[in-house]
Amino acid sequence: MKILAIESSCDETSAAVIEDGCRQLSNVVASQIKSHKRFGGVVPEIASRHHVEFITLVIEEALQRAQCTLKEIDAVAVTEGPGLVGALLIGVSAAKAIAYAAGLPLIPVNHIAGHIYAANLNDTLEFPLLALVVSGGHTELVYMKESGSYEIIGETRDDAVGEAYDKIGRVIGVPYPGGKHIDEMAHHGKDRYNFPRAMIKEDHYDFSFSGLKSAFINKVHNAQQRDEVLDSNDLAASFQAAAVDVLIDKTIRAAKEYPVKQVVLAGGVAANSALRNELAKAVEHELPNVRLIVPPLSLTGDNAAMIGAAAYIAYTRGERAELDLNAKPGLSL
Amino acid sequence: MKILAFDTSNTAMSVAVVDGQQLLAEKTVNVRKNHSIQLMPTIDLLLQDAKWTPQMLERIVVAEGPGSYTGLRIAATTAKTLAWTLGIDLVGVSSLQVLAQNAAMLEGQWICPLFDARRGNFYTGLYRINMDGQAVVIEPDTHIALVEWLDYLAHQDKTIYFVGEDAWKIKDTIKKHLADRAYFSKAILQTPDAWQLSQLGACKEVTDIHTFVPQYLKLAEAEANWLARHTLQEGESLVDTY
Amino acid sequence: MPTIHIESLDETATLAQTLAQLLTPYSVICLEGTLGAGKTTFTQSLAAGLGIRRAVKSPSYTLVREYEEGRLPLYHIDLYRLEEAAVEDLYLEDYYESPGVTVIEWGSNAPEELPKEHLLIEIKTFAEQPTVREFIFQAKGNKYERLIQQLIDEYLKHKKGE
Repeated sequence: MKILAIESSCDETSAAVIEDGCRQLSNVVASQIKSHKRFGGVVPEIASRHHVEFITLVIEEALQRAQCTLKEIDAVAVTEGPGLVGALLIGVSAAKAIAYAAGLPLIPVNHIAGHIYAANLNDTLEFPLLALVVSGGHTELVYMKESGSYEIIGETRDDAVGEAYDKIGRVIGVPYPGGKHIDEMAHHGKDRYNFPRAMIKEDHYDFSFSGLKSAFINKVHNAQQRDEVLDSNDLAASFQAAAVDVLIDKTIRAAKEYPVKQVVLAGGVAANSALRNELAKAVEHELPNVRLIVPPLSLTGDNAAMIGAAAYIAYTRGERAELDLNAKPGLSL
Repeated sequence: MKILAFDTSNTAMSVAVVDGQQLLAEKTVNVRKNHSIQLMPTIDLLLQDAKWTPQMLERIVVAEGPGSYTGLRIAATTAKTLAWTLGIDLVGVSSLQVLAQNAAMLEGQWICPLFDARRGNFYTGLYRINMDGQAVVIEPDTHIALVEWLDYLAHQDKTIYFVGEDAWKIKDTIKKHLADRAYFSKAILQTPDAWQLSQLGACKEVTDIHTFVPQYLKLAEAEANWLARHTLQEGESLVDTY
Repeated sequence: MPTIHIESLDETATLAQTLAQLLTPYSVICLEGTLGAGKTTFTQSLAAGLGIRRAVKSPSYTLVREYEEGRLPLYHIDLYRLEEAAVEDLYLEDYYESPGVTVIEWGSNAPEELPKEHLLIEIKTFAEQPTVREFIFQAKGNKYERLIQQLIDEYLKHKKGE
């Protein structure tokens, strides 16, 4: 079964053709990162404008690369949320038009579910599993008893981890998006400042990164007031260590409590090298019977292949949208 | 020619299914509602009423702007994707011309359609009704401060008919500038009509589907500010496809 | 300017919940303060006071989060990462004109985009005393002058009662 999937929730316009939820026949991404870099972050109106410019081009390219025509497609899938409302609307409008004009079923997909199912494209998900979804907008621990069932057992109570990265990145003056730069700097520094590991001892799986962010900022400001110069690499390393420690600690604890076969690391921040490496070590040492799956770097960012992978499961569960489908910016799993 | 025409550029949504010059089905909703929710179901309903399948369509005509950014994008995306999927022609028509066309019976007269663009600015243009009863452009659509526009109109030695709900709302200001040379359309002519749209689109040149975008007539503010301080290299793309 | 001195997170919660009780439809509150001053924390308690059960998270990423389930709908807007120009195209008027409560963090990034009448709350922090906050209230428009007076009266009553 072939699904044409469309994703436009933030600053990438993407379309993909996915077969049986696991084979990627094509995955075309038009990335606007260069455009938004000019403004130090995603500007919603500009993102929406780029999406309209590229939407049909990207869809056509996805079909061409998959060497198929719309006639061979069995369903159309689209990200309905969460994300930027104006951006989501482009994918949703396009998907509805294709589904209607080509007489195909329409499958609405949650963006977070997409991130998790990205792992099914180069590996095979086995249930029950635990997914740590980390990105600019999300920090969630999701327990999946079976395919297509999602239970959020922990989430951030304030800032998403990727957002904290971007914010402290601004404070020490690295270009947008900050996460990648902080990660690189951290390799050249030491965890010397011992920033707080928020909620690490608490008996639940929620996260909080605003305290870490504040501690970081206080440190920098206090040093400035005293004309003290702090080593940026050490600051980055200390921040990263604190963030990664909490993420890993809670993930490992949850994976011990829930009867999981796999741990999946998903979302844009899954590209962070410290998080990938440390989580691999921790799973190996502490969870001998659990396998860690990390999608390849090309699938950690936003893309339509992951939406197609998640859509296949939704399709087999009978999930369909009608022509009145709307963008749902605040959608939760 | 079998045409599907729609306009969601402002509060109203108007959709029509037209065969040549003959209207088969039309629906106009003029309450603030979500165009994203209602546009496709309305298209489906009207095609059913006309007893057509989507495959029978030969042309999509869409109001391409100016207007509310979100409304424009919903219409433009739906139109270009429908045309691409069905492999048929796509035509974009000015949303202001659609309104001006409501005054088609006023042969030889000057028509000024207006949409509020907030902060004292309006989207507007100047049209004349020709001998065939078609609104043709005198002054192209623009985004302009109301005062500046009315000042320009005051210097034209002409009677001007204002159309659009937003024109009605600023009636007093217009009269201050134009005195007795300003006329206002009746309420019945103030809402965009997709049947009119279809007729304007029937005789207009076909556009390229992939590169079709709304006519915002205004840069995104952040973009405008950036361009004031930088120049984009020729051929430089801000979007990378891989 | 009317100022309330706060010693702990609990007191912040009390203050925010007291304010929540007094809010009427079409209210707009602008929260100012450095990163980490507690703007989102204050909004979380305000939301709880409005009867919103869902966790209120930072809207920095999506810019706006809407919560419909409380006594009044809450629109939580964060302009931290946007320059003024980018805000203009967000059509924030749509929120101001909705019969709910709009809370804007970092409104100072886009002063032209704020409604003429609103309640400005500045949260001051003190490097030496990390849990202490000062909430400084400023009314833009008559409606909010009355509101500030009511808030201070109610809050002090509340504190005495404890």
